[in-house]
Amino acid sequence: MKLDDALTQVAVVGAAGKMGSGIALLLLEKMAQLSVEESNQQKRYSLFLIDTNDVALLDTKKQLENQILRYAEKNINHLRKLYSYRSDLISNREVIDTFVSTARDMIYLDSDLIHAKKANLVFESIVEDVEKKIELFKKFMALQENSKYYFSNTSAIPIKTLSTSSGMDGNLIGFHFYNPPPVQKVLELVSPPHTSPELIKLAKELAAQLGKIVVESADIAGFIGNGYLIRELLFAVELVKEMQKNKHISIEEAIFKIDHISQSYLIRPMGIFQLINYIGIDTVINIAAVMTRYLNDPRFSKFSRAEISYKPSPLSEEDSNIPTWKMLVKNKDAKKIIRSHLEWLEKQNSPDAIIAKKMLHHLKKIADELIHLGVIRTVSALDIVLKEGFHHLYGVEEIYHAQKSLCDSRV
Amino acid sequence: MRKKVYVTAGYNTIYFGSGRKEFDPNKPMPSFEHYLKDSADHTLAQIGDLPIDEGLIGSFMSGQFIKQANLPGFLPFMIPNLRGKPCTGIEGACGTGGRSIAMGVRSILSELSHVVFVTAFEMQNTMKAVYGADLLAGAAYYNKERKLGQAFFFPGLFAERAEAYFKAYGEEHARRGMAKWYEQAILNARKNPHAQEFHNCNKELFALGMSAPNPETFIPFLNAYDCSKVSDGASSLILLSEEGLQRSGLPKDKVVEIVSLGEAEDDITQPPENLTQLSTTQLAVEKALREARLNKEQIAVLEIHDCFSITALLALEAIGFAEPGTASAFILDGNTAANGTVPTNLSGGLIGFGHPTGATGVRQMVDLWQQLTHKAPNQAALKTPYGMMVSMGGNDKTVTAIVVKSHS
Repeated sequence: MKLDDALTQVAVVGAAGKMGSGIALLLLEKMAQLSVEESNQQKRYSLFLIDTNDVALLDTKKQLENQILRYAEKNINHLRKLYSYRSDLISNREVIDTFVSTARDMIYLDSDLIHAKKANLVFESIVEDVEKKIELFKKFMALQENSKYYFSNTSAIPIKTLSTSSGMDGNLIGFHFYNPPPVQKVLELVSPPHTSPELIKLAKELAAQLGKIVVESADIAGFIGNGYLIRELLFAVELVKEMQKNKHISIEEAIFKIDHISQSYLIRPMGIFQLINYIGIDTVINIAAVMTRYLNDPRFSKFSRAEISYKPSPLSEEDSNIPTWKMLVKNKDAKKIIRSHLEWLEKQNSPDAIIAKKMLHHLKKIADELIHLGVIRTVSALDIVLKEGFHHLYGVEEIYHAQKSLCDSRV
Repeated sequence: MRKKVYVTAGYNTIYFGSGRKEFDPNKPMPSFEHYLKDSADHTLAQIGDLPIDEGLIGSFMSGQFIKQANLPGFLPFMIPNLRGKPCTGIEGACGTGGRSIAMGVRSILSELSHVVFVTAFEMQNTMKAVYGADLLAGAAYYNKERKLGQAFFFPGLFAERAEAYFKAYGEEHARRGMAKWYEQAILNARKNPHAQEFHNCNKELFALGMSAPNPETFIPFLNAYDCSKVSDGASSLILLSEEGLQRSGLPKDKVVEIVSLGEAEDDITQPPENLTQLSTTQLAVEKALREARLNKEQIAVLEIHDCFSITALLALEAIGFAEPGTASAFILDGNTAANGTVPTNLSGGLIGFGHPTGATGVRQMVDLWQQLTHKAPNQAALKTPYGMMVSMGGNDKTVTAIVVKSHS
C-alpha cells in the first residue's frame, strides 16, 4: 500500500476527544494538500470522524474548519505554489477559500463504525481502557472490507496485547502523539515483533510527512514518555513523604515544596505535580494501573490521589539566582547557562538543592532502567522525549556532561 | 509656478496599527469616520473660520477595505463649510497623496479656488494582511501580475528589485544600508508621537534590520523590517493662493510655498526596464528641480517614499544623491540622518511613521511643512529654505515630486 493512496480514505475513531480531534486536524491538513496536487485530481478523499458523542462531533467539525482556515492563511505561500496550475485562483482569498472548502467536503461524521469500513488507515484515540480498545478493534475486524492498517494512540498499553486479543495480526502499530498533536513534534512509534514491515514503513513515512520527530519505543507498558513520567512521579511521592516526616508539614505543603523545587532548581516549565494535574490525575492513575498490570510491578500504583494532588500556595519562595525556564526557552545561550547551573547545583548543599540533586540522579536511574528493560536502546531516545515532548531544556546526557566536567575540574 | 501656492494647517492623525501599544486586533478600532473627522478638525482649528472653496479627498482602496466609495460625499461631513461646493475623489495607489496635492495646485493655478482642503486616508486593518495583500496588488497590473506574484504581492515585487540590486552591486553592503535605513526610521519615529512605531523601544534595531529573510513564510530577499506595515490613518492640509493667504490672515511663517511640481506617469502594463532603477521617480524629480531652478544639494530636508528599505536606496539614487549602487554607503555614512547632508524622513517615513497607502503623500507634505515652519516634533537644523517630497504609486508608476520653500 502506498502512503499517498492510503491517505485517500482515512478514519479517526474517538475524533471528538482532545487527542482525536488534534489527530484529525493533522490528517485533514495532509489529505487536503494531497487533494490539491494536480496529479491527484481524479482521486476522492474521505476523512471519517467517528465518535460515540455525535453532538460533540459537530463541534469538532466546526473547530476543524476554523483551524484549517488558520492553517491555510499561515501557509499561503505553499498553497499558492500548489494551486499554480489553477488559472482561476488568483487572489490569496480565492486560494484559501478553495482549500478550506476542499477540506470541509472530505469530512464525514458518524457515531457508527460501519461508515468507516472503506478507510485504508484507521487512527484509534478512544479512552485509555484495554477492554474498550480490544472491543473496538474486534468490531473493525468484523467489518473489514479491504485490508487496512490501524494506528493506536495509546500512551501505555502494550500494542501486542491489543493486537493479539483482537486478531489484528501485525496490522496494528503504536502511533502515540503528544498533547496537542498539531503542535507537539515528538511521536512515539511502537512496533512489536511481527508488525507488518509495510505498516512500519508506512508509519514512519507518515510521521515524517506530518512533521514529527519519531522516537521508537519497545512494546513495554508506559513506553518512553510515561515510562519516565510515572517513575519520576513515584520518586517525587517518596520525597514528599520524606519531607512530611522530617519537617512535620502537611502533605499539601510538602507536595507544593517538592513541586517548586522540581520546577525551579531543575529549570522546568512546570513542577512534577503541576504536570500530573495538568495531564489529569485520573489519566495518570489509569496509566499507572496499566503499567502495574503489564509490567507486573505493584510499585507503579503505590500512590494515592491525595499524594499527587497539587494545590498552589501563596507562600512561594523566589529563587532569584536561578534562571527560569521561561527566561531560557528562547535564549540562544541557554545551553551554556544550563550547564553552569547544573555544575553549580552539584556543589550546593542546601536542603532544597539536595532534593533537586536527588531528582537529577534519579532521572539517570530512570534512563538506566528503561535501557535495561529494553524500552529504549540509548539515553538519547529518552532525551528526545524529555526535550520535544516534555519541553525540558536538557536531558540526561547534559546531566552526565555537567557532572563529568565538574569531576574533571576537580582532578 | 505661474502663481503662488501655499501649504498650511497640516495635520497627521495617529497612524495606527501593529506597533502602537494601544493596537489590539481583537478589539474594536477607530473607524474611518473618526480619522476623517480628527484630521479635518485639527486642520480647521489652525485656520479659524476661513471659508473653503473646494475639497479633495484621496484614498487608494476604500471601496474594498471599507466597502465605501463616493468619497467626495465625506468632505462636507468633515467640513460642513464644503456643503454645496466642488468636492472630488482622487486615486493613484500609494501615490494618491501626491496626486491629491497636485490636483489642488491645479485648482489654485486655474484660479477656480483660492482655499483648497486636501485630505487623504486609508484603512487597512479591516482585514488580515494575507487578504489585504490582494487589494494592495491592485496598485500593479492585477490581471497579468497577481497570479504569478508572491502571496504578499508588493513586498514580492520589491523583493525582485532587491534581488536585482544585490546581483548588480553586492548583497552584503546593500543589506547593511537597508538595516541602517530601518534603524534610522525607527529612531525618527520615536520622536513623532503620532508615528506607528513611536512605541518601538527595541534596542537591537540594526540587528533586526540584518535578519535573514524567510521565503517560506514571507518573501525572499526582504525581511519584515524592510517593509512598511499595515496602517490606518489620515492626513490633511490647506492649499492657498496668494488671495487665499490674505483671506486667512495667516503670517507667512505659518506657510510654505510650493515652488514646483514634477509629475510623471509610467505604463502600468509594462514591467520596469531596469529593476535597479526608479526611472519614473528620476524623471519626476528632475522636472521638479528644473522647474524650481534648484539642484539637489539645495534641498535641506527630504521625504521619500520608503515603502520598503530597498525603495529608499533606489529613490536616493534616482534623485542623484548617490551613484547607482552606492546608496548604502550614502546612508551608512550618515548623510540621511538629522544632522546629515540631507536629513531624510525625519518623520520616520513609511517604515517608521506608517503607510496608510492613500494618505502617505499628504502626510509627507505635512511633515515637510512642519520642518520648514520649524514646528516638527523631530526638528532638523535646516541649511536652506527648501524641502522636497517624492510620492510614488505602484511599482514606480505614479510619481509626484514637490519642492517647497520656507518663508520662516
